[in-house]
Amino acid sequence: MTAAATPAAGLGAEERRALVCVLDALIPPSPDGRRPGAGQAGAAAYVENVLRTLPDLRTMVVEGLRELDEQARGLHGRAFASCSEPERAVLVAAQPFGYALVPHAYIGYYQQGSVLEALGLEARPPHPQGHVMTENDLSLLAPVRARSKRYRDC
Amino acid sequence: MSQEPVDVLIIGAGAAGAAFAWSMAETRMDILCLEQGDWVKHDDYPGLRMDWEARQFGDFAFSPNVRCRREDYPVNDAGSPIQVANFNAVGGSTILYAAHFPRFHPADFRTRTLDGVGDDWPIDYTTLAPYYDVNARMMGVSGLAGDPMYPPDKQVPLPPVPLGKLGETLARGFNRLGWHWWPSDSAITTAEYEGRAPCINAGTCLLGCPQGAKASSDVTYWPPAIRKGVRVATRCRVREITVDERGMADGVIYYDGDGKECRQRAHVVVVAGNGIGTPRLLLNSRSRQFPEGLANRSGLVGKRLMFHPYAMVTGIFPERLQGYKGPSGCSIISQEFYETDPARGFARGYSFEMLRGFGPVSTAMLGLTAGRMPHGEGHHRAFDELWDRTAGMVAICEDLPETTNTVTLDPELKDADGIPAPRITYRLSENSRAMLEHAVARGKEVLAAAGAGDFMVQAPLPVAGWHLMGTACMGVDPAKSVVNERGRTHDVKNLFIIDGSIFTTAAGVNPTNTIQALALYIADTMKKNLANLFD
Ligand SMILES: Cc1cc2nc3c(=O)[nH]c(=O)nc-3n(C[C@H](O)[C@H](O)[C@H](O)COP(=O)(O)OP(=O)(O)OC[C@H]3O[C@@H](n4cnc5c(N)ncnc54)[C@H](O)[C@@H]3O)c2cc1C
Ligand code: SF4
Repeated sequence: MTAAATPAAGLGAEERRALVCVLDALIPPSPDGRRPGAGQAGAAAYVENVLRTLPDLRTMVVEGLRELDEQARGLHGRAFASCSEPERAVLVAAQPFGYALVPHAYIGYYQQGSVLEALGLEARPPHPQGHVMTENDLSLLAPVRARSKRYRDC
Repeated sequence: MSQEPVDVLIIGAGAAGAAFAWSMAETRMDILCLEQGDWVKHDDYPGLRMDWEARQFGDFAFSPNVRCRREDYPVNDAGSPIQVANFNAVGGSTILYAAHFPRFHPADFRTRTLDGVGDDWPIDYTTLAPYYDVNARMMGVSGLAGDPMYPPDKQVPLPPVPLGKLGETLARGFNRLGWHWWPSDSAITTAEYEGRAPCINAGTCLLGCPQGAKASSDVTYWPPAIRKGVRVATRCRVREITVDERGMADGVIYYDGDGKECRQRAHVVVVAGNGIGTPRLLLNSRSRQFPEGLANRSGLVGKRLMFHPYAMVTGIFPERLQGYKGPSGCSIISQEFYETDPARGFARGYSFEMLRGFGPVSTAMLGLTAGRMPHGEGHHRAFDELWDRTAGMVAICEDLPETTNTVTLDPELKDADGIPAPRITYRLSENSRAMLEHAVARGKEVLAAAGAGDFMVQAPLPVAGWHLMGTACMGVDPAKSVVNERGRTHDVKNLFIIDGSIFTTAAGVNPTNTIQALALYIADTMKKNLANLFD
């Protein structure tokens, strides 16, 4: 209920690379390979914009990314972004900040053109082209028309 | 703004303010409307961009507390299970509305006499019928004549919106049960109409319509009103209405877009700030004559707040429904459970309004809210179970007026100009709870009859505080109401209220058609009584 806070700074290059991997863990590519992961699809740009306007979430995410990296180095001997997909999935699942990112990951993912196409839609906004719809079949109203007046006079 | 008084000063350029201004314009009086928001530019509408669905969580959110635009005032609705939804701009909340446009029924004006609840209105359906007709022409309403739920003379100028595969699937469900349904009256142009382009079924109505097919009042009433000489001053937020020593309204104090305090005098003041903005302004307009708020000698300003508690029942279907096509909130309506039936265990009733399906973002968020949309492995399978397979309905339940449901001034929260914010105190009545329960059960029944195999339910729907009514109610007795049958406040003879605040009862349909019909009716009675307006 407060006015929007001053925008926070963007992420550094390393953090961004790690964020892309986290997003791919939250929405991985579909098993049939037709839908990209959220990181691959480009959801990070949207999420990063959200983080600019939500400083508390940004702090949580930046700290979480650092912890992920430390854990990855401790467990696998390499940076989080260099771990394999299954390794990253396990690491992200154990991180509370992942949950906080989920809604933003979904919103960022399902607005990407490549994702819309994979869903069978055109990669465009709804306007100005719109959608074509079929003519109404008003014969369906026959049983309703057959009934008498239903409102009360007064 | 000029120091000269204007003849008529309207506060709020939404649905009601626009209709009223257009009707009064023919008098050629000096009419000024102060609006705290601005014009929404065509290019600002989210529907033109790839991130359109995301904007419902940001600058085009239903809740002013999420949007946080400068023109928005915060609303403390922590004390209500239903959150206030609005939009502050030229066009008001019609910028975001779904444009579902039913009329009241004749019985809705007589609930005390017929059903022993609420109060009778001092006017009736036949009083408003000619104004509903004018409004249908001015807004460009589409629909179909012959609905057995309404008097036969109800006409609209345009053919109904497309039902689509989704609408027809649901219609078959209703037919299987032998229940009423009808193509919705929709304030959406289904063909070129009075210079407006036809709807292209893009489905972004709840984020505004860049096509101009949806009848927001900035594209319907305001252009002709302005052509006839009415002026609209935007980014002007009224803090209080002032009174002279005789207790007559003599103008307002407002803040302009730069936050500068200004004064505008007026011979007549007309309030159209909606069911929350209007009582907020009246309660903030305290003076020696009106220590409890302007026109509040009855103590009823801000009381009897009515939302329509909504039940949302979404069915999950085995086949794809192409539900992302078509106007978001308009396809078919059912009023099978509209009129009172004592056997149901509650007074009054509700309408079912069918919703389209959702876009991809909204599908994912709906699934997330319902606990059906995991992240990680399994995400795509869960998404596919919902994507383009959901169809549902909302039940718009009639709320009964209760003096314990209120808008008051928050002692701490303020808007950007330092004006106290409204605070909502609201609880669901037993009648509403019973009605919601009934609606959920019947909703599932008809969705199952249409082929749904699974359901998601939200009742009451928390985001659905978009119908704002009753907080300055109309009646004949000054001790029991705020305005008389002509919209004039009982206490201040040159102060009128024309928005949903004056609803005596709420009915079980969306209110905007009735709000505008009332505003047109009040304007007409003013025009007919100009010589003795203050008698
Ligand atoms: C998401 C959504 C969906 C909806 N769907 C439907 C629907 O399908 N059918 C339907 O009938 N209704 C619907 N509604 C409700 C509909 O929009 C309202 O009933 C209608 O707009 C109310 O008209 P109004 O003129 O009373 O208020 P508004 O249209 O809200 O206009 C009030 C105006 O007054 C201005 N104002 C308030 N206080 C001040 C002040 N102090 N100084 C200056 N300006 C002020 C505000 O900025 C605003 O522009 C919906 C609303 C929303 C938000
Ligand atoms: S569906 Fe029609 S009315 Fe709704 S936004 Fe698109 S063009 Fe406008």
